[in-house]
Parts: sequence; C-alpha cells; structure tokens
Amino acid sequence: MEAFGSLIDGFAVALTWTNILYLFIGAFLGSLVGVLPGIGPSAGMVLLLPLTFTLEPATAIIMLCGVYYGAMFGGSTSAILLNVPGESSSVMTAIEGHPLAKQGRGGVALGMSAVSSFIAGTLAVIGLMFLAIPMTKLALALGSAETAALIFAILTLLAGLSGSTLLKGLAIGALGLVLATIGAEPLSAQTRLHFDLMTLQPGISFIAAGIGLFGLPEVIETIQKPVASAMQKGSVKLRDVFPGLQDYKDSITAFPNGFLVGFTFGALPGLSGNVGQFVVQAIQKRISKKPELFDGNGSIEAVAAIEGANNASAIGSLVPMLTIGIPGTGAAAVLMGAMIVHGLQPGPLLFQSRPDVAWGLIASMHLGNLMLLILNMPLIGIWISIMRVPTHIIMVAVLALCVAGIYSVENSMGNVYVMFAFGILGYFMRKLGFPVAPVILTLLLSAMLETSLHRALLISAGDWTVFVASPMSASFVAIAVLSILLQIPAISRRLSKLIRIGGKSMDRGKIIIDND
Amino acid sequence: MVQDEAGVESPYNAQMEAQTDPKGVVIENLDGVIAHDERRGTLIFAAFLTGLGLFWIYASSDLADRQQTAYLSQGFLPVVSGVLLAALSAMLFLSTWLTKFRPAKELGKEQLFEPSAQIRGAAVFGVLLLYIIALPHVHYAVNTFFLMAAGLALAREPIRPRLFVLAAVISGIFFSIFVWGLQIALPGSIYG
Repeated sequence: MEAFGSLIDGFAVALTWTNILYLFIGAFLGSLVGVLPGIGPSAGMVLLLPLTFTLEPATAIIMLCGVYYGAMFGGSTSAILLNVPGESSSVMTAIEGHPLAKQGRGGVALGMSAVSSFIAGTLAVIGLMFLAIPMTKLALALGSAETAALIFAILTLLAGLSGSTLLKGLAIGALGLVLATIGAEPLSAQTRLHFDLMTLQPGISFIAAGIGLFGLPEVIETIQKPVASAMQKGSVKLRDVFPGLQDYKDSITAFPNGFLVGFTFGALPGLSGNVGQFVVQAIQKRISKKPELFDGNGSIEAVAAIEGANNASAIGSLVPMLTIGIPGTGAAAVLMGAMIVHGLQPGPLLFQSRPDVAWGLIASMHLGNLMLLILNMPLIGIWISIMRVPTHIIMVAVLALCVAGIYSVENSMGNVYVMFAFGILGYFMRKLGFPVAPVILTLLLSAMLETSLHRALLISAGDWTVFVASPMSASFVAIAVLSILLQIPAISRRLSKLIRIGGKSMDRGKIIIDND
Repeated sequence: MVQDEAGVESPYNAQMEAQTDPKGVVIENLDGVIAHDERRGTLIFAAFLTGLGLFWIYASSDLADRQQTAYLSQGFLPVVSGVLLAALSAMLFLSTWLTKFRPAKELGKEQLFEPSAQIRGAAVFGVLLLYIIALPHVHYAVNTFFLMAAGLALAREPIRPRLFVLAAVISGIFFSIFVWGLQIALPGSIYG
C-alpha cells in the first residue's frame, strides 16, 4: 500500500507538461540512437547527457531514462530490418527477427517488438515499484563492511561475465581501479597521483571516460570500414506494423516469459540482457507449439519473448542502482553517473531525501512504456528513412558531438583531452576483445569502495575479519570468490559435466568432419 | 614447428597431424585458438598494463609512507590496485603466450590490424586532435566545418561539392544547438 501511495505522488511529479515533453524527447532520441547500429544505450545516454544540464534534476533523469529504454527498443529496429544488432542485447533479435523481415513481415516483427516491450516493461515497472521499498530497507541495514564486500562481489561478477576471458575482464577492471585512484582521496580530499596536471587533480571525469571508451571507438571503426549502404531502401506502411490475432495467440506465453527472465536477469548485477536474451529464447523454444520456427526460421513469438526480456531487463537493471546505489550494468552506471552530475545520490537515501525524483522516475517509466508504444508504431517508417542516411556521415557528426558535449560539462578543455586519451585506449580495447564495462564500473564504484573500506576498519579498530564477520558480508565475499572460481575453465567444465542442460554435452570444442 | 600446405609454420600444425585418425576423420579442436595478430596485440597490451601497474606501485609507495589516514593510508588502494593490475596483466601475458595461435585467415577471421584501416583510423584521431587543439582559438563553426570535411573525406565520401555542403550543414546545426540553443560558451564563439 505504501508503494501505491508513493507511486501516486510520483505521478504527480511525472505528469507535468515539462516532464512529459522531455520524456517524449528522451524516448524519441533514445529510439533514434538505438536505431543507429553500434551506438547502444550506454553510448546514447552519454552522448545526450550534455543536453540535460540546463534541466531540473528530476526532469533530466526522466529524460535520460526515456533515452535508456528508447535505445533498448531502437536497437531492435536495425536488428530486425538490417540484421545489424543496435546493441549487444539485440543479437538474438537479429537472429530471430530478420528472417521475418525477409519474409515480408518486418513491420509486423517491429510492431510485436513494440507491443511485447510495452507489456513486459509495464510488468517490470510494477516489479520495481514493489521491490523498491523492501530493497531500500535492506540497503539501509548494510554497514560499511557489507557495502565494501558487495561492491567487491559486483566487480568480480562483472569482470567474469562481460569479457571473452576472465583474465581480460579482471585486468581491465584493475586498470579502472588504478585510474580511479587519480585525484582527490575520498576521506581526506587530498589529491594524489595527478602528476602535477591540473586536469587530473579532481580525478578522471566519468563522462569523459565513458564517451571516450564507448563512443569514439565506434566512430573510428565505422569510418575504417568501406562505405556500406547499410540503410533500408524499402518502406513500411502503417497498416503493416500491427500484428494479427494469430500473432498474439502464438505469443501469449512469450509476454510473461520475457518479463520474468528479463527482469530477473536485469535486477541481478552483472547479468543483464546480454545473457537474458539467450535464456529467454531457449525457454520460449521449449514451451512453444511451433519450435521449428526458431533459430532463424522466422518466429514472431521468439521476437516477442526476446524484446520483452530486453525491455524488462533495462528496467530491472535500475533496481540495484536506485535502491542500493550500485549499478549492475554499464548503462545503469552511466545513468547513475548522470544522477551524480545532477547532484543526486542514488541509493537508499534517495527515496528518503528526494522521493519526488525517485518515485517520479518510477512513474515516468509507466508513461515511458506507453509513450514508446504510441511513438514507435507510426515512427517505424521515419526510422527507416533516417537509416537511409549513410552511417559514416552520422558517425563523423558524432565526433563533433562528443567534443562539444564533453566541453559543456565543466567548460574544461582538460576533459576533452581526457576523452581523447580514453578514445585511443577504448579503440585498442575493442580491437583486442577487452570489455569496457569493468573500467566504467570501477571508475564509478572505487570511491565508494575505498570509503567503505576505511569506515569498516575504523569501526572494527583495524580488524580485517570484519568483512566476513556478518553473514551478509561473508555471503558477498563468497559470491565474489565463487564468481572468479567458476570462470576458471577447468572448474567450470567439471561442473558442467554434472549439470547437463537438455541432455546435450557442453563440450563445444570439437568439430568432426567425416570424409567418407 | 610443422609447415602446412601453404608453407606457414605453426606449432598448431603438428597438433593437427596428430589429430587425424586412420579413417581420415579430422578432429579439429578450435577451442581457445586465437589469431596471430590478436595474440601479438594482447601481449603488447598486457605488457603495457603490467608496466603501468609496476609504475603505479612505485608512484604510490611513498604515499603510504608520508601520509597516514586511520588504518589505511592514502596509498593503500593505489598500491593494491597497482599490484592487482601488474599481477593480472602478467598472468594475462603468460596465458596469451601459452595460447595456441594460427594466422587469422586460417581461422576464418579478418586481419585485426589491417594497415590501411589503421592508417585511416590514426588519421581520424589526428584530425580530431587538431580540432581539439584549435578549439580555443578558432571559431567553433569554422573549426567544426573543417573537422566534418576532413572526417567525411577519411570516411571515403567523394571529394565533391556535396562533401562541403554536408560539412557546412552539420557544423551549422551543431552551432545552432550548442551555441544558440544551449548557450554553451564554446571557445571562439560569439559568446566566448
């Protein structure tokens, strides 16, 4: 009941003409950004963040959330029409949705994507609503030791799950920790390791690092490729985007499946839609009456399940960020950074100190889901038109956008140079398969980690066993250790032999060619 | 080292010979095999990270001695992060060194650092750096026009009037948004 009362207050904040307008702008820009292949929600939010600096904090965050799940939806457009995933969580959408486009049902696939995203997204917001207060109470019970242990667990989970190899993820996470120690020390505010560079005295700008790591490598790689006409040439009529009754009947189990899997994986830090999309597709295939249409043969219910999971995951990933102050995904980290830039501190105190922002944000998600559904159905034709602009022209424009955006944060040329340096780093990281998310997350969480460590040791008078003294902190430390151990191939192979999935062997390394 | 039909020597080829059974069935284990250029790039990057970690330990070690804050000094996290970076990067270096590798073509992959693409990428970074250096001194719209024109040319847009029109339009749009719309005091602008 408390949640409903707070939600009504939230609607009072969200249902102002200003906030509705900026939510619309955010959802529109997010969908536009998501449609552009390669620029995902994280990069999109970072690039559009400077546009929010003149807004009220609540309005700014509402707009950015619109960008976030608008981008999640937009990624499906290029995935379905062009077989080019808009972001990493649209890979399965491309596999299952593009065959429908080839069959002349691309519009229907996009329409079902919008409907499924709306249903699963609405259910996810309800889930967020009811989880917010209990998780806030839980978070307030977290002491410094528990907080430090939890952050440690988050970092190891992310390092293990976001890269091609565990070592790459851990090494790059350590690089993020190193870079995060530049600048002001959290407790005493004394500067360290800035090497007499004024730009580095306040520390590495999170926004500069984010744009440099996410945005610049995308631009460079696109420019390096030969000019490809990756743009849609056909057109989609409005009547072609509404799924038929049979499509809804086929997808009836996909809606709850997408919500449950997506929300669960989104709320668990480190997992997100990148993993959820594969799980939901596998589950849907098992319960489907038409499994033969899966795996690239054109299944509308697969698209429904995957896109529902993506949107639910996007909202679910905000649960730990809003309630505990710990982002579980790169995109949630960017949103958290944006909140900090606007003077808001995500975490349990947000619901106490700024309930207008917290509940206004949750209420705006309901509105945002509806807005995306209404917005994207007629705009599908426009997205296709915009996608006729050659990608390389858009990417070159993004270069200037990055510079202006970063400069506008603090009117500092230093941040622009930091962005440039991170751009070079991000380029080589991308080329060599190093994940980017661990760097961003350690940059964001390092100050909190160091503060919690200091405080925990102050309270325990220097006794390091404080980090395993309470059941909660001991659990988090155990999760961290397990997440590392389970990534070691020898151990995971032994475990996978014990756990058979679908009766199939997990040994994927052998290809047998029969020459007879 | 064993040469294959193309004359490429690779320790992998010996393993390939050993994995062909008498019936001619070829058992090819591609698990964990990486491309040669990826291996080289990862080794260089891992070595760089290891060196950075060692440097960080050195730079942070006097922080630990000079400035004490409660039970943890200012240098605690920098030293620990430096140790972690050096150790993990060294492990990555060793792991990559011991990983089987083959030329990218044999694995069906594109060359990772194809020279012409790298030159183009370096040129884009160079143009961007010049743009950033010029930003405090040159009018924003003019500077952006040159960035757009150079960038489009590097992106293989044919050098025709259309390129310059596109550059002018984009720089005009950005000038309108950032200087007129958002009133950001960009260097060299009418507000700066």
